[in-house]
Amino acid sequence: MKLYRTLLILVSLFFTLAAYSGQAIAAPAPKSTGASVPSGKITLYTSVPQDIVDRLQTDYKAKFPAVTLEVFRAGTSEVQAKMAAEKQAGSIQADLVWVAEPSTYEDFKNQGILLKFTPAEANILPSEMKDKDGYYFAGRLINMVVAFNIKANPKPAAWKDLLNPVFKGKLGFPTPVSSGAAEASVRTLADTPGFGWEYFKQFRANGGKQIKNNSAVQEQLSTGELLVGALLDYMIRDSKSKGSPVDYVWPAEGAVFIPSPIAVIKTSKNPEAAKAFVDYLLSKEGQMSMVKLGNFIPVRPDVTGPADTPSLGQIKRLTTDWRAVREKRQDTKDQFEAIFSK
Amino acid sequence: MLNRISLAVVILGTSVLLLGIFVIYPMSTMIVQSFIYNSKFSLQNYILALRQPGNLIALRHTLEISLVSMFGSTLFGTLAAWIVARTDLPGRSILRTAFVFPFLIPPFIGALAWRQILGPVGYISKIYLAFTGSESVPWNIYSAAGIILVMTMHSYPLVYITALGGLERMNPELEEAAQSSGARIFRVMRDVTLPLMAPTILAGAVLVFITEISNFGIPAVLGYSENYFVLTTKIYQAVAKSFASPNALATAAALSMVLAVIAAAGIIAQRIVLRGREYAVLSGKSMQPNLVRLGVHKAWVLPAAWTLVFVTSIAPVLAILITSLIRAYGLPPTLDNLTLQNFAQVLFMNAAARRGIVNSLILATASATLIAFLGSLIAYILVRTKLPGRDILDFFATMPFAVPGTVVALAMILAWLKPLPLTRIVLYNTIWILLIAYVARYLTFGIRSTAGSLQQIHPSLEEAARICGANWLQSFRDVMLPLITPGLFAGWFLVFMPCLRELTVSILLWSAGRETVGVMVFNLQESGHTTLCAALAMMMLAVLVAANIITRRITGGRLGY
Repeated sequence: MKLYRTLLILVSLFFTLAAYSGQAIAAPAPKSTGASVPSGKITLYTSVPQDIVDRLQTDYKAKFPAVTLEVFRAGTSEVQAKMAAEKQAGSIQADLVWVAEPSTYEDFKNQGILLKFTPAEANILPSEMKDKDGYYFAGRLINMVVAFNIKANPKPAAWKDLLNPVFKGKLGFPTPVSSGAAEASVRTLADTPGFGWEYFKQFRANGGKQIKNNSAVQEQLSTGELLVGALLDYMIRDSKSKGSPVDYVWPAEGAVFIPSPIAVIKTSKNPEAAKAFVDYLLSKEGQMSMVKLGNFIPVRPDVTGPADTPSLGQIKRLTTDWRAVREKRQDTKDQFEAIFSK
Repeated sequence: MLNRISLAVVILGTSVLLLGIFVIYPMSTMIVQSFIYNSKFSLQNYILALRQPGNLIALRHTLEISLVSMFGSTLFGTLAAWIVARTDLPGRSILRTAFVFPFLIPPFIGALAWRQILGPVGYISKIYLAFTGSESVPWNIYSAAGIILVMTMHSYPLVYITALGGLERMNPELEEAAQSSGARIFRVMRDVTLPLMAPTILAGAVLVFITEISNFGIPAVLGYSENYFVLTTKIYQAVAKSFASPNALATAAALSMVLAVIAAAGIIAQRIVLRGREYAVLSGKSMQPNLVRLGVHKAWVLPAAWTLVFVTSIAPVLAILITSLIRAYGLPPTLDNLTLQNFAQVLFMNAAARRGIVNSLILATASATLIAFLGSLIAYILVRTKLPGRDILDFFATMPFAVPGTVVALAMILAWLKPLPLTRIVLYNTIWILLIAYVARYLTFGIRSTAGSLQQIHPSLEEAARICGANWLQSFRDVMLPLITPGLFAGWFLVFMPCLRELTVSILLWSAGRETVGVMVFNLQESGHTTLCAALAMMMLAVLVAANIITRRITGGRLGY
């Protein structure tokens, strides 16, 4: 009888514990409705690196001790997949979403999952840092720039320099099929006069490779497997400050300027606390933390950026049409695939 | 007292019920998804998915790499098991453990390690370039061959573990008879041992095949830059922009069904191969087999075995170790650049990583134990009963392992987001959803490893027990269970290890406080902290090795390797 008994015990134990744990989760219901001091629990889904959100969490806790901020951190793709499945199954469980780039938020807006609101200090943000319709606001700024291993000779200074035959076979671009920031960058370059898809054809002809994601470009530049490539500015600054043999330039033609938005989810059960987090993130204090923790260029003109970085107004940038990024998704993917499968 | 028939019905019925709740229900939500296009029932997702030439190429790639690495893994795994179980090679007890080691390394970490070894600027590549003075190496790790190589090195332990379990409980009299009739050792192996071992070897081979069709980590790390996509990387691309198209999840579900069908075909192929042959080789008597004396063959078997260990286990771990000790990624590994800082940072500054290690240990133990029970009962139903529809049970039990982990996670969200019926209990965002998902994903390991053993037990043993008056439970407990125990233990271990390092399912299902170590390793890598990622991966490996040693000690060597 031992097996039978053990099996029964295990099964009943399982359900008891499941019941217990379900209760524990269901218990702390958010109480704040219109109260001035936010409280309760909020959940943030984000692709911002773990160590940075961890420390933002600590800062936020000090400011709003009554709020428990829980974080689900994954790549932008995983965050979207999770949200889509949750939406399909009932409702999105996040109160806040903070991922890579605006075109995703255009998709979110299109599917009606975002809450419209005006953060306390929204006025200080430059217009390019906020949605015209008032649904999302840049919590950080990331830029696609030209990065290189210090062995690269001559050092590249522009996007066009990647086509130099001395770099043959040692140049890479993060693939637009899974990275949002890369998709925006490819679309931007493809739509910029003087570049177009021709640029990518030449990039490929020079032995250019599509790379799985930004962190893989970062790794391969560090080891020297790639000599030059496109990479997000904060990642390459981070590598460089740690001592990896890499560096970057603001490309002469202009960087791809990517405000990385945060938004409140419409079905949030605790919107006040969620809004308070956005307010905090966009505040002077919040942006100073972003500079300190993550080497990000601040989204506010009145906060000083990391050492040796241009101020917000000085960044030379290419024009990105975020609507085009969204509407021409299939085209971006198809064209890129066609070029890089040769 | 329950009579013998109803007791069997209760126990087997409970196991089918559990399978229904935890596997069939969530996977059905996914199957239903795959037929819904623009909110209507339709075949459109399949038509669209299969009409894209890219997907068909990916399908071909999936089959190519999985079949080739299956053959490679079967060859190495069987040889390794034979050496350990049947020969007098010195140092077999160390080899017994060492051959399992590659299975402990998470696939994506293994792929990253091999990129550091054989990639264009890898350690071996650099040595080659220095010696030959040439500009580039004549091999390319970013290719089908590279993917197959890493997959094979990674999964031969699956065949090794299942085959070893079979060899250790096989009646050695047959081999001895052949040997005393004058057959030479390799002839005995070819004509007696191998044919008798066919069910367990094939069980391992099918596990490898299914592992590889659903593997995402290795083709993701090694395939992108050469535009070499497989179905799992295509599925990932479909879900990556889930909000861009209302049918994104459905497309992923349809492509996943293709993988599930391929896996089912693999299992059917296995049955066809075994059909009409008698494999009941267990007489019930247990005895120490006489070891095959290798004699002069030792001179090459010994170095060959250790080369396999060095290449598949030691080399990738060394690569990860070096990375974990480097001050900044990309610096040469000179003394000045070495530091323990990465370990200190992961260990002392990252509470989530510490919690992840504990959670993963709990989850792996619980999943392996539940699967050992549930899996052996389901295996019994599949092998020994004539229950109608048992093939469908088998299909559903295999499906969660044949599709990418991400898809299993999505199915779990669809199934368990809402409170359980008539209650306020929500499994989502608790550790239970991870446990359910793990049990669903790895159940097939438990089923396959015990089913292989069951096929080797002649039904006469059970019948004899029944004739002597034992009820079903008594005969199962006193006759079957002791005989399938080695298979059961092999299954436990086969589930425990991958659960401990699980990534692709957990990545969508973890939540604050319910982190797993695999997710933490991946997040560090994905956030660009390569050296920290390597440090945590090394710590995870240490935990895996320690877990193996502890289980072996506790169970007196019956469990663990």
